[in-house]
Amino acid sequence: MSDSPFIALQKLNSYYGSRQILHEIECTIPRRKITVIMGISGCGKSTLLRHLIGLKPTEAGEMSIEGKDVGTFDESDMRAYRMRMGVLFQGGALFNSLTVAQNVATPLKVHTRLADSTIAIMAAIKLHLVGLTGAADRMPSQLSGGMRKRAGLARALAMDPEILFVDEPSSGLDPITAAGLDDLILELRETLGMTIVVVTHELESAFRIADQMIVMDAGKILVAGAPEEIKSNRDPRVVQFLERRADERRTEDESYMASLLGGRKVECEIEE
Amino acid sequence: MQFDVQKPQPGRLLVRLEGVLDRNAVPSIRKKLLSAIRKNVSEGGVVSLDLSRAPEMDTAGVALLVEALESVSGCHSKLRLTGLSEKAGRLIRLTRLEQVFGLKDASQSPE
Ligand SMILES: Nc1ncnc2c1ncn2[C@@H]1O[C@H](COP(=O)(O)OP(=O)(O)OP(=O)(O)O)[C@@H](O)[C@H]1O
Ligand SMILES: [Mg+2]
Repeated sequence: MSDSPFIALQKLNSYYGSRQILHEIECTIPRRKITVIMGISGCGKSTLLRHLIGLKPTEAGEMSIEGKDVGTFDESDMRAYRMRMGVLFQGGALFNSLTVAQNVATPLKVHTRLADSTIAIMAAIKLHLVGLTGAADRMPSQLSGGMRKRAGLARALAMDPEILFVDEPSSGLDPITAAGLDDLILELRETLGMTIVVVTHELESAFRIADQMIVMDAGKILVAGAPEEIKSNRDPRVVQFLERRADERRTEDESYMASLLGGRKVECEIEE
Repeated sequence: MQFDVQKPQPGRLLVRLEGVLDRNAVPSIRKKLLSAIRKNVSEGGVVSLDLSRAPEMDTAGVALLVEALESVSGCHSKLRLTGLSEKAGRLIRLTRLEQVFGLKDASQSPE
């Protein structure tokens, strides 16, 4: 059982309205490992994460958690799954009317019968882990973007999750704070055996922390494997992604021209 | 989760915890545990918390240990943790409380 994956996806397709975002996604999230999901902006990383955390429904047969089809989950199965996970959303998603410490304490207040003083200590522990001890009594509006991210991570850790999902933990952080966050993620896996899924743009951070990598492109998995396998992959699109010669810009230019010209394609040559 | 309290000799209190010390268990024993400590601890004495039968804990368990420490030090007594599992020790180090609980250096833990 301990070798079987925590989560398995089989041919997951995902839509917003009639627009298909994810195509036949197949991957596994191994236990007690760090899985990093990468890919250019808009390729569907956060959408994939929404499925993994059960926020976006999956059809029967598409996703299983510990071997059990999520399509057959009833409300209490889903609630039980949610109690085992911590999530840091891309925007941080703090409650603006609560202090940082109250934000971290909220899941514990809602989901446990722990005494307030116990909860306060647990919240202080989590804030210390992310280096925000001094900001406990501040309001989210008084935090920098990076501090908000870290407060969100402290809240994601409030319930001592078995599985942690983090969307872009280090975007907006200075390199030193970002490296500190990488260290914390590694430490959580090493000392607690936490299963961790990280979505990130930061290649350096990705290669530092990943046990397994999933590189996405336009709603599909381009390649998945150990960091060394990704590094030595010769697929031009993987190479291009790793070398950052993003063709994001080129497709954007194309659709920009199309929008200017009402969808007409034009060929033009410049005469010398 | 349960515990028992013994006074092996004057000035000493031995508290044995048994079970999983997590967020589900802590609410059911917290009050009784803290008041048993407060009632029985003597000024300048030593309270030993034997955790050999409570190898599993989460940060709710750690927080309870911090609360126990608070009530003990309120009486100018000392708290000693004994029988700490490797796993629990790692958690306490992760939460950077090894000094507070007088654990040995982190570098001595295996791995
Ligand atoms: N709530 C939504 N409704 C409709 N379309 C959406 C919604 N959320 C995302 N999309 C679209 O789905 C696609 C994938 O978005 P997603 O947020 O998963 O990308 P991403 O890889 O996380 O990007 P980024 O790196 O910028 O965060 C995008 O084209 C986006 O416009
Ligand atoms: Mg995203």
